[in-house]
Amino acid sequence: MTGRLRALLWPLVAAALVAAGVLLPEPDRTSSDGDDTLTVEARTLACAGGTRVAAGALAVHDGARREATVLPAGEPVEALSGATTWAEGTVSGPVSVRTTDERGAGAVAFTRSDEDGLELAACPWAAAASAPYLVGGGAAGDHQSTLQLTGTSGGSSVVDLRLWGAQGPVEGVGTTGIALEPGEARSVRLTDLAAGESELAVQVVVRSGQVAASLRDRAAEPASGREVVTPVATARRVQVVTGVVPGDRRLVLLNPTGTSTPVTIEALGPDGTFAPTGLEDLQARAGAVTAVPLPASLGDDVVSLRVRADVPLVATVRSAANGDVADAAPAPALDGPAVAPLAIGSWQRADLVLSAPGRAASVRLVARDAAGREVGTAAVEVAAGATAVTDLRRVGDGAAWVEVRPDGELHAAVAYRSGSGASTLTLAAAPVDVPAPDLRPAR
Amino acid sequence: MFDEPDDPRAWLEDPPTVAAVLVAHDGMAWLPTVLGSIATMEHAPTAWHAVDVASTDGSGDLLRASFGDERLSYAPSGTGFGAAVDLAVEQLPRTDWIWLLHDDSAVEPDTLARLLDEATTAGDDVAVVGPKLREWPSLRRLLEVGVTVSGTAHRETGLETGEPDAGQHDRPRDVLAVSSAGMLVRRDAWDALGGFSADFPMFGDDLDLGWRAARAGYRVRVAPPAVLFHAEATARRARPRSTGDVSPHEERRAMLFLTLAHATGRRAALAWWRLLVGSFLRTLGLLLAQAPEEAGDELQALRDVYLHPRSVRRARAERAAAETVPHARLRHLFPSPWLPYLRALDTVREWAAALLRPESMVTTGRRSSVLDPEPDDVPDDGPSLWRRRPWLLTVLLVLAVVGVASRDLLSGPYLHGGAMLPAPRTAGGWWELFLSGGHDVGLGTSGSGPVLALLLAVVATPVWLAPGLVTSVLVLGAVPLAALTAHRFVRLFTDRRGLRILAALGYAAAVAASGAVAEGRVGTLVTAVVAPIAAGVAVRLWFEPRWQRGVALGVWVAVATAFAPVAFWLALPLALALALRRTRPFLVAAALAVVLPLVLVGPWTWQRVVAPARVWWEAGLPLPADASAIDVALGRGSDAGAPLGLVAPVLLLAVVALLAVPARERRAVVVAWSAALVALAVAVVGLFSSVDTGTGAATAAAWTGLPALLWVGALLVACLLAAEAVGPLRVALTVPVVLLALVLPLGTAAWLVVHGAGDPLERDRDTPVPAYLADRDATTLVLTGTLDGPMQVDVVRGAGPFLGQETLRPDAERQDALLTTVEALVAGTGAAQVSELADLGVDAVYLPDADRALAQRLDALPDLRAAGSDDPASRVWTLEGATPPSADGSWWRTVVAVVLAVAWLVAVVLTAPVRRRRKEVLR
Repeated sequence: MTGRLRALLWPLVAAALVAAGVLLPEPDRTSSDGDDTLTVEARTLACAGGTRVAAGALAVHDGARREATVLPAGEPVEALSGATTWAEGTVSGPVSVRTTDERGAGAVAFTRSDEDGLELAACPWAAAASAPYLVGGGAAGDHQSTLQLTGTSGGSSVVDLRLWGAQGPVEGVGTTGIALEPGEARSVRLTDLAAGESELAVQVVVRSGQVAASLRDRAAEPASGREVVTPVATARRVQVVTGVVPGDRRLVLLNPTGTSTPVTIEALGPDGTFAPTGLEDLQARAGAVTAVPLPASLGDDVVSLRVRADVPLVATVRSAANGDVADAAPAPALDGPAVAPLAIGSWQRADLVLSAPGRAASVRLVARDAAGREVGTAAVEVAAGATAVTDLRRVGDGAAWVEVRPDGELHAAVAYRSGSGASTLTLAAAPVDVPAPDLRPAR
Repeated sequence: MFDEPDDPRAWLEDPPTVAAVLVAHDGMAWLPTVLGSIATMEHAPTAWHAVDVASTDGSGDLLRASFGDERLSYAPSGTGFGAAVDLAVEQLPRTDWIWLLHDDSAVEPDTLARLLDEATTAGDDVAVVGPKLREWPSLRRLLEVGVTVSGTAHRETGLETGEPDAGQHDRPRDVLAVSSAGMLVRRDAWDALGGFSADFPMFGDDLDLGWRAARAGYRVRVAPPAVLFHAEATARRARPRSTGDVSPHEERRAMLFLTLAHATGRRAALAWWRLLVGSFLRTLGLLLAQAPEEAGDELQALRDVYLHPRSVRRARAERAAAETVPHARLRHLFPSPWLPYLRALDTVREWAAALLRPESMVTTGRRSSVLDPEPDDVPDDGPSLWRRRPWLLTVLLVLAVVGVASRDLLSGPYLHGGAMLPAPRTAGGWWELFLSGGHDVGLGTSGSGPVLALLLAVVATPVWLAPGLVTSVLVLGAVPLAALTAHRFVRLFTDRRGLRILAALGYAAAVAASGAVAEGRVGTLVTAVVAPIAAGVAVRLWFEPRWQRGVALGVWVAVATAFAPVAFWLALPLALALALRRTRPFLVAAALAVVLPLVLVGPWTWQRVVAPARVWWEAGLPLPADASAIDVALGRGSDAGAPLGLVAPVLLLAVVALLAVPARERRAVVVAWSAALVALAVAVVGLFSSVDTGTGAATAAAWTGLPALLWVGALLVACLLAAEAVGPLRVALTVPVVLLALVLPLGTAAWLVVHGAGDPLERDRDTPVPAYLADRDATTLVLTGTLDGPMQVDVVRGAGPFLGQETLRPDAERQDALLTTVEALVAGTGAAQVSELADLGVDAVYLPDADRALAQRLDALPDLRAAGSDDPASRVWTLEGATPPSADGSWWRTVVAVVLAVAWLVAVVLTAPVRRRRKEVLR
């Protein structure tokens, strides 16, 4: 019996080994990456639709350079080229601005047009969004928009256009397989694609190559005026439309999905968040553009709107201001310093609108001249759920641009007024670095 | 049975006269029997004369007593058989026939009568008649029924070794020659031919006489009804050697001389060169087969013939002068020209089989003597095939199950999937992988090829153009092969066929149940087949230590380690157990078993054996495994294995084995359990281990199927040992035990048949990139994953890597450059240009399952042109100006590879059975 009991030792050892295998925690086989971000060493921005172009950078490091060329001819624009944090010049057509800086310049560029109203827009990076939405255009009556497509890649580019109107998707004419040669800037009137749509949203789907898209809008509602519609990279369920200036306001919603959804609107005002009355039953119809006037309960302050829905939407707000219209577009919160332009023409007003939809946040403003020297600073606190407005012109005398450094979750825009009109520029972080892709050898 | 004359004994009315000659030389061991058989003959010769050639064992005295002085002559030492016959013929009266007998050839009562039957009825041109020779003293095995010579100068009997006499060769026929033992020669033909030639003192004289007779227009017949029992004492060197005896290489010299002397015209030149080259090759083969004495004989024979061309020319001229029948009319007397090559294949096969039978360390002559004391206990007769050949039928059944399970994998381009990569297009691919220091893989790599490439190359060389057969057999045939090796192993422990079959089936089922076949785990499958062989060697080593067995164990462990480095650690306890015996033979064997694998697997594998992060690597891709401790305990390495629970009865029986076996017999069971626990412990350690290729790729959970399956295998051995010790059980106990033992094999068989052997193994796709990219040998950057999530980067050259190439590490500098470039291009930092990909040699980009955001990001890149793909979900881009990546290898890597190959050859040769020259007693 003793021998047999001793013999059981072996199965017991086996059971103990198996128990150890069951009870001991499994190792963590996920490895942590080294660098989470990559420095943006070069960026090409396409500026189309304006007569003035300003090119800026957060910093200029040794070896950095900027080259601006006219599209498609390729002639250099000397005024914009060089190695400064800011340069401005007059252009006669589309311009490509390429900035190279091994340590990350945070390059930006802006266009301005004062023809029948103020149009101010950031020059897009073509590869930022391969299928951006442009919401707020029209192709009927006094509401006319012109789509501007610029091929910025070294080879031919091909895009498809998707259109939505108030009644649903619109089968446009010649909207597929639009080819652009390198450097070609093409203007496409929306009336040529789908006439008779008072509200028309466009998605530019880049099938191949690189295309920068913008929409020059001659609005009719809520007032006549001109604006450059900011491309929106993606539709979202929750978005913050920053810089809704006071005046007659019109909310334009695109629901590109196949599901209608109720929409909740909250206003982030100077005293906090509130729900404006009159928007309780707002619905965004599936596959359609919904345009509603915003009620007077929004007040007379500059506000931001937080738009919530069950499906991804794109929302913009057009405000009548200064005899013009200004479009406020949604953008992600600033995840780094942004550049707010000042020295691109003159301004009567340049109000920085900051909204903190979550917790309270703050921002440090550093005004710099064209050479990048600091000429003034300011700090702005933004209460949770509130919007704060700051006059950028007062941050520093002689400032060409203002560096906006957020601390916390902040959405920013700049509301400009000049003698000819108004425009709202949504701010995005200047591209110094990007998240590094999680890339590994397969074996 | 055959056509026979109406009255074969018509000659009795007027019997022909026959003079018999008996030549003896130290034949005392056989003479009494020979003389006794002569005394019982129905029809005796007319006259007798014996010749004693310098016998010193009393043969002369016996002959004198039998024949008397008047019928006995004495010849001096060194007198050849032919000369001795001439001496006798001079003394004999002239008769119609001369009958020649050896001192080791016993007759039957009717031998001479049967010879005369044939001689008197086969035709007037028959000059020589010979009997059917069977094994001394009166056995049924055939030795000769006529004899001829092959083109490589070898005596050919046309019989299989050990072929029994069942009447299959009893038809009288014309032959080239008959043995001089029992040869009946017409006296006038003997005189015309001049008897035996002096060129052949001991060997080849009979062949020469027959050949000369045929060329002179005579016929030589074999009369199988006439039987003679021959000891072949001279050929087998069973006679005591004495002064004057011919040298050991005389037999070979005689055959070379014979062939050259009878070659005429163009055949002479061809034969001259063929025998020269063939002899050198044969010498090399004999050296490799560890037969140095025979190799030396070959060279000496070559020397004696080729350095004396005048003798050959003289002999050729003499024979040509007597020729009346051209060679073309004699072709029917010679064997097929392919026969020598078939013999060579048989020799290689026997040599290989001997390698796999580690118990046969020594072979002597034609009949091997093996150390395995167990006879092949298959009765010749039985009531049914199942009772007579149960294991054969079991193997056929296993093959059938595997065939059905592999129904989707038996045809198609390349077998691949899971961890398995396809085979190269030719066996040259593996040779090049092993021998070359630079490799056209990916972006070009330089590094030593793995030893497994050498092993695969050797096995695939005979099927050069279809190396896929090797991988198919390795993977799809692993289960039956494992059954065969396991059956061979358990034969060491029991004679009970039922137990052996159950154990072997259980092991084979464990291989399939582990999931190794389904996932194409080549390393595990090779080790599973090899493990029982290595274990068998270790067991034999334990009971009879020999250094050759240590080498054999080391070689088998090296084979397994080459494919799965963890096998070294699993085998290490075997070596340590040997070392515990502490005597010199065991320490030597243990040292060989440990050191030799590390030497043979080379630095590439050795680094993996000792690196904790890489020891779990196996041949093929590092497919992550997701096994739990329960899976491992139940013999599974992943979800691709058989359903859980099939192994549970084995665990239960193994525990019962420990309890049921008597204490005095328990030790062996405990040893088996100990081996099982080692395997289980290694498996549990593996659960917490990862495979890190060292290239920066994500680590993968280690595959623990190999130790899990060996754990089950060792438990099966424990069960078998216990069953053997306990003995037959009562029926009431036997039935449930057998049923429990059958759960694993039958359950696994059912699962295989239903589930199939594939998934993820498959044959439905032959390249990892679109076919047109593979065809143009493009260097394709393959991106898998999403822009926002993990992404894997691979570079595929042409049709992709074949098995073995996955072991090559990419050049670190190029890989870093590639990753940096791809990272920058995908992230849009502007830090890289597409042209940098081209500079690295990439000329295509492929997304097998294209993430839309990633594809659009690549669309935006200049200089990337969208191209067609093979699947709607995939995308391809091409780029221009790619610089083909170079693969500069260091010459010293080739040198190291050659040295390693030679080391393997030496090690394998050392494990081959030693062949001694046939038994020779020296005075």
